[in-house]
Amino acid sequence: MADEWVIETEGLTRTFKKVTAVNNLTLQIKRGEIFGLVGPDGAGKTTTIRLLAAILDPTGGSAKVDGFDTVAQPEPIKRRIGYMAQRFNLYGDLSVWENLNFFADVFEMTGTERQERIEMLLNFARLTEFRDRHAAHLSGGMQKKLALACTLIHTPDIIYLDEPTTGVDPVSRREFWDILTDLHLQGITLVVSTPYMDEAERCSRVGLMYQGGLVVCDTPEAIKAMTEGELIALWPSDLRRAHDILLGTEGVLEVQTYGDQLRLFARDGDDIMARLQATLTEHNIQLADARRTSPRMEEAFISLIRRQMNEKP
Amino acid sequence: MKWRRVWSVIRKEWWHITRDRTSFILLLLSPVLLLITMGYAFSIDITNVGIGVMDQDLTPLSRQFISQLASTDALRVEKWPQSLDEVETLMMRGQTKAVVIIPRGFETDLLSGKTAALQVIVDGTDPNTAGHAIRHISAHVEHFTLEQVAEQVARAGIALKNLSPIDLSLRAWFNPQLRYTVSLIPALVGIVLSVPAMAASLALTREREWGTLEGLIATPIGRFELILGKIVPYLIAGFLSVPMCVATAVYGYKIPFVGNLGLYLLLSIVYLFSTMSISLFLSVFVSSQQVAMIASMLIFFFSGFFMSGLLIPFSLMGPMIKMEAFFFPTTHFVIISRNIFVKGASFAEIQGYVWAIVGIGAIFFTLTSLMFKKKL
Ligand SMILES: Nc1ncnc2c1ncn2[C@@H]1O[C@H](COP(=O)(O)OP(=O)(O)OP(=O)(O)O)[C@@H](O)[C@H]1O
Ligand SMILES: [Mg+2]
Repeated sequence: MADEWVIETEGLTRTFKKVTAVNNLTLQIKRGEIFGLVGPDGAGKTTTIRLLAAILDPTGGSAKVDGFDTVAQPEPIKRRIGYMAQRFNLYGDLSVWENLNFFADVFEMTGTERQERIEMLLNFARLTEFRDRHAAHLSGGMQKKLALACTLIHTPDIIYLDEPTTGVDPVSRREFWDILTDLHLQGITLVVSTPYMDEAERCSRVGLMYQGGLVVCDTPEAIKAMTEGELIALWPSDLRRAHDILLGTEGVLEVQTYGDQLRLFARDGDDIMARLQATLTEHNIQLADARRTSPRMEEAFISLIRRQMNEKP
Repeated sequence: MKWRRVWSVIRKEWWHITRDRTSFILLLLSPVLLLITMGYAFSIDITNVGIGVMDQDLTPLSRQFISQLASTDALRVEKWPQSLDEVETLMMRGQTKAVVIIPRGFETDLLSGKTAALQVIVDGTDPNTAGHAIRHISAHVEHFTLEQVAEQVARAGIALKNLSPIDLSLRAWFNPQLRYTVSLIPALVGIVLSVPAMAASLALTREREWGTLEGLIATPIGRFELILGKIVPYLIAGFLSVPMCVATAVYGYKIPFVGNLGLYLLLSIVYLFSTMSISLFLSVFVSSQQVAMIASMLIFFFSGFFMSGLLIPFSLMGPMIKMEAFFFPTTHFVIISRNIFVKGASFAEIQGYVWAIVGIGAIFFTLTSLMFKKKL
């Protein structure tokens, strides 16, 4: 069914003077899903979202949002979407209340519907008691919530959120995602870019961007299943040396470092577990612990990006 | 076109301007402050210019001439060189800006009806002061000659009616004392009123720098609505400066305001709109507030001082410059300002200039709303 796709891009490309920020991106987003855009810094997430918000024109390809072309019909798109930019983009010298009212005016909200909506959003963003505070004087997390509230003022069908939780404490981050889940349950389509893998895990589908292109695009489960081999987490005494030694060991596919642990993909988990202790002791490295574990999004992404990097150096 | 949106942008923009108290007060006062300082700077040396007199005639008539010359507050005789060498030294060192030389035979020639010679040497490196000295000395010469001739001729018993009738009245219209400030200050009011437009050039660039424009262009707001909403608060703020400037001119510089104040205020709004349209047009193309500010300052001060006829008379401008000057609203408003202030001109007498300002404003406002794209 064709109109199941609320967003469709076809070879979407955007080149700036020297860099190609988005390169031949073909993507479909389903109505009502939370679509996660993840990727390292400079992968082209922001540029993609700007193209989809019809505030930037592509240099190649095309994109359709709710059936409207982003170049030919930007205005109908702008009535249907809510866009929360990566950078804080509310008026710092206006209060919470004034910011909300300004956007209510811009979207021509009137009467009791408008009043109710503003009260509801204040409540929803837990900002009721800060309504008279200037936006510049809110905490980072509160600013993000206010920005979201302003984005939601006209009950958009589609919401673009560009790294909405960057620089926000873990508690607010959790709260923020609870709000997003609420919106998802109301049937709104969400496109969220995020550098956090635990957030990617909460999405219906995830697109992994790398150097302007889409590496994979699937459900978190499917992406996690794409990793090759079995995963072992281990805590050796000398992380860096252990990393190099294990990488050269027969049967090891990939080694990733996480804080004080190593995560190792092995072709045969049992075989490596058996040989691990001996290999490390041979090099005077103590091993505190080692256990089998299932891959998280994080390992899956690093693994996929490394594979991508090796394919096209 | 949704008026509610326009109103909303106006209100928001007004908050941006007024909530930062210091910059708001500065915005309101800067035209007046500029008027005071520039008016002072331009007119300071122009009254009471010190000149030298070399009297080689040394007759009662030459002394009378000198004492009358020094009796106005426009000129002050402070040097008495005795030789041409001394004149040269004085001029070289800049100790005097003009020297009047009364040659031997001045009285005799004058009384016998011959043309008396009188030499005036001015320091051409300072044309403003020199021009002032020349104007006053020649006005005095004319006055003195006519008076003397009439008197002497009468004393000689010749009936006045036998003389060829001369128009004795030399009158400068509108500005009887030929005060420089009377033409200067109303023109300066026109120039300083372009300062609010420089602030208006920040309206778009500020949002671009803040990053708020990105959010705004992702909404259905119309370009025209946005531009109109942005210009109105600056018009209001700029308009508040107009009465202050007029009051400074009238009470501070003692310039008579002859014309219709209501008309003047009304036309100042048209002028503000026109200048602000230009600076908004500019701000569509620049990305930082600094660039916007410097560019608009260059445009308005340059056109104000050099093209408006304030420093360089129109008659001296080449045809190209005249053409360019025509496109700057300041040129027209300087003329309007002088005419209403000093001559009390009615709308009908200045309407050509008004339509020019309206036209320039309309063109730039339309261009701005067309060129502004809701794209990054
Ligand atoms: N306006 C622009 N002019 C020139 N280059 C740009 C512009 N916008 C983005 N780029 C470049 O395009 C590439 C992709 O940028 P983009 O902001 O889309 O990445 P991102 O995935 O959002 O990164 P981040 O996680 O750091 O926000 C980068 O190399 C960036 O330098
Ligand atoms: Mg980004």
